[in-house]
Amino acid sequence: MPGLGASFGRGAATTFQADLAASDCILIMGSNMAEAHPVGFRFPLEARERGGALIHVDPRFTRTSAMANLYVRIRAGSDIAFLGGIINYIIEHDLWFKEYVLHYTNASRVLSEAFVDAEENSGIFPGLDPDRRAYVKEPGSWNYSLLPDAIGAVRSDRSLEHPLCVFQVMRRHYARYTPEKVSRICGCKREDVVRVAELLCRNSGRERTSAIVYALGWTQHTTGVQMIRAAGIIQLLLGNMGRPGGGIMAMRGHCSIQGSTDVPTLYNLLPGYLSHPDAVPENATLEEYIKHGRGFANARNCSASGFWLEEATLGLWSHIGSFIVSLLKAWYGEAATPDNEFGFQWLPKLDGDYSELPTFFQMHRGGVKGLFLIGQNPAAGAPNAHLNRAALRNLDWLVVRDWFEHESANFWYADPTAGDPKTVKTEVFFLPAATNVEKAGSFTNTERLLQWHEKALDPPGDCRSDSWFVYHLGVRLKRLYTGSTQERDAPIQNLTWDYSRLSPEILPDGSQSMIADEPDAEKVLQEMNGRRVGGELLKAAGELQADGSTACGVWIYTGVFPAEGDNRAHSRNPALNGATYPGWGFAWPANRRTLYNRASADPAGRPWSERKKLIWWDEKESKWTGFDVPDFEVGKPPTYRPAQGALGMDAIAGDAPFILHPDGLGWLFAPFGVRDGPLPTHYEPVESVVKNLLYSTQMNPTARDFHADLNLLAKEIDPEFPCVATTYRLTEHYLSGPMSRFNSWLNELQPEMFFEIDPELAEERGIENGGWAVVRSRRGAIEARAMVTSRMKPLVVDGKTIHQVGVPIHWGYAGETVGAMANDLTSLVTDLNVSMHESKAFSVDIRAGRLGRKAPRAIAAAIRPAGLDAPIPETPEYAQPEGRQQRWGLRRD
Amino acid sequence: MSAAEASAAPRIVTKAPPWHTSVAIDLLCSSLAAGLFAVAAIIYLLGDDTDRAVSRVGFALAFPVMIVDLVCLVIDLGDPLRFMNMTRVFKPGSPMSVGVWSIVVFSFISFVCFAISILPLGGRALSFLALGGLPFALVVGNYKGVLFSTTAQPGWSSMRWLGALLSISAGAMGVAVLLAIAALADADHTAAFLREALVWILVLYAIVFVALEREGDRWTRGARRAFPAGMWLTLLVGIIVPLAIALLAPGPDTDCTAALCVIGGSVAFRHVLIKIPHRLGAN
Amino acid sequence: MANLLRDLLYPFTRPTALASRRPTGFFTDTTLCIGCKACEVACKQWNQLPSDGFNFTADSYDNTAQLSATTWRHVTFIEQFPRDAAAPPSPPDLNLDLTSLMMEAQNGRWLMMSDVCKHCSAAPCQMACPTGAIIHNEFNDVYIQNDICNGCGYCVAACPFGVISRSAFDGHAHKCTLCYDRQRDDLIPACAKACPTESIRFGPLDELRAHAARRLEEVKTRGFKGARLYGDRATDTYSDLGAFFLLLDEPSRYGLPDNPDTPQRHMIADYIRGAAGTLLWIAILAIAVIIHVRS
Repeated sequence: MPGLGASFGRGAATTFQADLAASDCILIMGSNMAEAHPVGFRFPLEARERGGALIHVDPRFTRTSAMANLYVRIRAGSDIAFLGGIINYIIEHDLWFKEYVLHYTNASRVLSEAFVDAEENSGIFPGLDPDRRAYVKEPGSWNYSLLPDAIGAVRSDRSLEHPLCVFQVMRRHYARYTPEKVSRICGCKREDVVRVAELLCRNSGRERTSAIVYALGWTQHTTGVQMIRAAGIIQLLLGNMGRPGGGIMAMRGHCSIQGSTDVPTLYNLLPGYLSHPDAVPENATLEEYIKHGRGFANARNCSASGFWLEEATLGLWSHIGSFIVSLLKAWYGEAATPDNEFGFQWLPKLDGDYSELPTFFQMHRGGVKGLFLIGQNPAAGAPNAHLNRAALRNLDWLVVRDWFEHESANFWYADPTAGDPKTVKTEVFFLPAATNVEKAGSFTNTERLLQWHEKALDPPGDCRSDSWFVYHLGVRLKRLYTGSTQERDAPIQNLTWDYSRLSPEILPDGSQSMIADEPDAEKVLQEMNGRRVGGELLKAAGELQADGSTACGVWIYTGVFPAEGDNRAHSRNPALNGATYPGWGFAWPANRRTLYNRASADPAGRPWSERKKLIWWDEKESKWTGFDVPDFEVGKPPTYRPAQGALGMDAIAGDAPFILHPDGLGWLFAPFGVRDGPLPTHYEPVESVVKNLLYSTQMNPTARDFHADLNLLAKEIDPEFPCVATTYRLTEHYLSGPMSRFNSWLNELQPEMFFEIDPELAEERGIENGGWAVVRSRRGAIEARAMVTSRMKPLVVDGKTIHQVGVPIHWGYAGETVGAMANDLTSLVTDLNVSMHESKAFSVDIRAGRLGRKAPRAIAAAIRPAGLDAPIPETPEYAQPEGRQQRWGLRRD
Repeated sequence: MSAAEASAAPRIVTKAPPWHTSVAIDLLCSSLAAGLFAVAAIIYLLGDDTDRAVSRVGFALAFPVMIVDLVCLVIDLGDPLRFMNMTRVFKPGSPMSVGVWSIVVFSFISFVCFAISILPLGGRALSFLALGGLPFALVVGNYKGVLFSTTAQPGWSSMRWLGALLSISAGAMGVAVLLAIAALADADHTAAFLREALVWILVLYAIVFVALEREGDRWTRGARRAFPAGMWLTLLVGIIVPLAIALLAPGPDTDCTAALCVIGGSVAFRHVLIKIPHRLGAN
Repeated sequence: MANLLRDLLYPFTRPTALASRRPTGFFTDTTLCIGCKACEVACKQWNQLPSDGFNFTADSYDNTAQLSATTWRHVTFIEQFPRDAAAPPSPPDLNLDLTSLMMEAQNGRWLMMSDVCKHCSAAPCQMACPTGAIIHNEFNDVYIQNDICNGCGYCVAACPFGVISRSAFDGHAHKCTLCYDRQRDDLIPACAKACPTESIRFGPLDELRAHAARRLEEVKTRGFKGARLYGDRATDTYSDLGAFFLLLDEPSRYGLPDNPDTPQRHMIADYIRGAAGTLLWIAILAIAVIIHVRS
């Protein structure tokens, strides 16, 4: 997210999956799209069928590789080196899209004299405090060279020759990432680096576009954010951003995970990517919060960042005042007035990192009393699951809401690695949840698409939806706190909280729902969309005001419900409009399908080519028009140049597509937004088997680990753990198993946990295909069957043979099939930007044999299909030609 | 072996039909009953009065054996209550349909013959029935072999002479049993020509058996390696020993032994036959 | 008692014959199969079939292993990676032509195919079935009428592809119905509906064959090695298939017979041979009797 946000302005996929069909070349890296997103994969396959090139770069040969024209095997964790090799190739061979780069990126911007690149300093940028593991010294050293004329005025050199201009700094930075060097780091052939680069270059430019697809193979590293930044640099250099068939398709891993960061469930964000206020003077009042803007949160942890304050005054984020005030009005309704800063003081202020990993770390030291676990399974699914289970055992109480009693619900008696259940003092409440077809609501998927889903049937028994639970929890809390005079209870008391239905839901079959008190999800969506206080629903985020006259829950969703009865998330019109499908669901913001689409036209407003046109300037009508909603002010002509001292959107020129950046440009060099460096730099994973061949700094200097006996790390290049492990998904199961390992039809497809290893390693260790093997890391050891396959091959990295071990993540000790947990191997280390862990590259060893521990017990099948002799349910009789023959006394098991 | 090599290994793709012991017994009984009836019929039609007395015993035995056969067939069905479904249509293109109908008609005829035989009733009726029932008996004795060879099973599908072999085996069993009966009843003349017939039929049996052994695909040869005992039993006990007995030590004392050997060999062969696809690893 | 009588007479009732419709079938294009097994799950879910048990085979990603009475779609995985072959030499130039890239990629490849009942035009199972349970329905698909089948198992023996088996649950034979119930409601089969890449194509057979012929040509020029159609037309020994395939290697690599044989081809000749054997032993016996009687 921050990788994309820093490069372009919004932390979300810049295009939509169907657009991949229009690509001339797709690089899938850090993603196993055919296995993890099989339905979306139809589009890259379509691109291949139309004559496009499909490239897959991955440590393993997967079902995606089987479909690719070119597959390149690299060592897990060496992605930045590979991408750096491509950047090096593009620059050295002069293959970048000149007109695009000159006008639409900050290539020409000159950096301040205080900036010293990592190239000259062993891979470290200025301002590093090694004790705090953050870039907090030398404030502003990553800034542009500012001109005194006006806010946001930056020195620039359009000839791109100034030694401190972004382009030259970048060229020097990537000079050492030659294809030869890179191939030694990644374990691939030099020619393959060149081939990938050439394919991308030949398929970029005016007439052709290339796309990059990534997923958790990039994000789950301590350098993940920078991997994405590197892709951003490539796409900007090649001029693919904002263009049909171009862009970066971030493939997020759940049907509504985009929604869970939009709305959000992250502790440090308010809806719409407003930052949650910190407990510091700069966020003490509403006025201060608005003045310092969104960038402040980043800058606090990375004061070397520059240019962040400009975000509050230039570009779209200058409207942050109307966003935050409208949010507060939505939450606190009439109680939010200009006199009390619209209730700003009722928002809690952050004094630390309360994301999942540090929180569970605290929990395992006894620092957390209780926990609500809603649709989450840390006992098996979180990195260093051992530690997570120890953490759960320290809780006083735990409420679990899920479909089945999974590992985090039954850990107190079913964990085979724990001791006597009598020693566990946690009181566990299991509240069964409704499935997605048993409730109405929306998903916001990886392409920012909101799709409404209807309720098909009531959930069985006591199962209830999460909305029902949270809503009624709120109702009871409010009841509990009525009459309290304590200041700290005011937020609960003043929350607007009416989502009740006027009449019970009618189900699709005409019957009435048995759950009379289910909240009305459409009311919630309407609140997210926003309305004039006491008035009609809003149509666009531009209507939001900072004076309290509008209320809006999620400003980026405004437009999804523009009028009563018009739920755009519900629309299902599949018609193609030139290059987009505007009638299918609602894509935020404002139903724009391709972000930054101003860049699909040249600086004069004409499409770069007829073949790749998306939006263009209509001179006669004086507006932008085309196949997509323009991601630009509709009436702003391409010739517009901001006056001196212009603020807000007026500061964005008519040829600056990235309107959320204060300068409207795509950032090759990110002066702020990512806290571990303005340019992607190759570091080895925290646990690595080789030294960093590019710099003397071995790993990301801002990566954090958590010191505990349960979280030991392997030494640097530890001979005890010589293999590289990487974790991944299989199509047949979902995450740690609660949604798939209770289903016989899925269990029979992949019934057991297994490791994937190459035949040479198997022979060396005496492991047979299908035989038992034990994989060990510094955290623990697990046993599973081995799949010996030539799809895995050893790599030669810097002259050394490295073997990789594949570890699927889907098993645990609860379910119809059970098995070892991959996360008993992984560790608790995080990056500084998003507290993301590193389960895609860590060090292990493998041997033949078993552990000799007691094995977990599978439950009896939870779902039993009807069988052959019962009628197919719900199919009308005339469609069941088998007949209704009565039978008795047949042979039956 | 890595996963790659496992995928590349050649394999049998057909599935073995779910036929086990009850079908083996059915194979035996249908052959035996058909053989008994056919031999009895020919003797009754062509022979003299002493011979006819022996053949009446044959008729009397055929039907009870058919009862056992029918029971086995019904048990073997996945859904025994639906046995009648077999008579829903007549499909001459399906050896099993041919077999079912011929069994139905044959059972009926053999029942009547059985009844007539044990109640010492009219000879003319019996002649008619014998003549009328003979073709059905022959079909019953014949069809099973064609049923097996008209499948896709490894081994069976290449045994072009299986129908002939099973038919000859039926004939051999019929002759051998009636020979034993003739011996026990002291009908020496009947026994004498039956012994002659048995010798020549066993020679024919041996020839066709060897021919069957030689044909067959690589799968059959694999099966033979898996069943050395069965195949040797069939050849030795079922053919060579009784042949030797009939040639070298003919006489009423050895006839029963010979009969038992022939039947024993037939049992062994049918047991092997049923198991071939299962042993070859078809699922 | 009345129930018993009704059940005994039921098989002899004859429904009204349905008007013939345009023959339908499947074309499975394995160049588009991503091995996701959505077809397996969709089929199981639509037909409410139970699982076949949990068996880890270590045979690539195929733990289903075979079609059966309760598995009507089965995805096979064939890994073809030269084990000890030295890495192929780098091409002299960069070799960025997509066709040559594809051909190079085929040096190490993972083939995937969704197997299904072939719905043969001349189906051995249908010819073998003694109760008439197996029919070609109005869409010319091979269909087992569940209320007639009595579980004799002859179809199991007759199928050269190993598609049918007899279920342990109810004793009857079951196989892919080509979603007969869905077709009657003008829906497409569940597996075709679920397949995300349209590797499984459903439609009128003549259209599918025309499409397949074009697709074969296209695929060959794109660099897919070993491309061929399987079952799109009749061979000397077997009829054409209603569910036919585009394969990238010998059929036997996929678990399909290279030269399927229609067992019933040999039937008449086998009967004749049987009759010959019969006549011989009858003759021997008759001669023996006659000689005896004469003497």
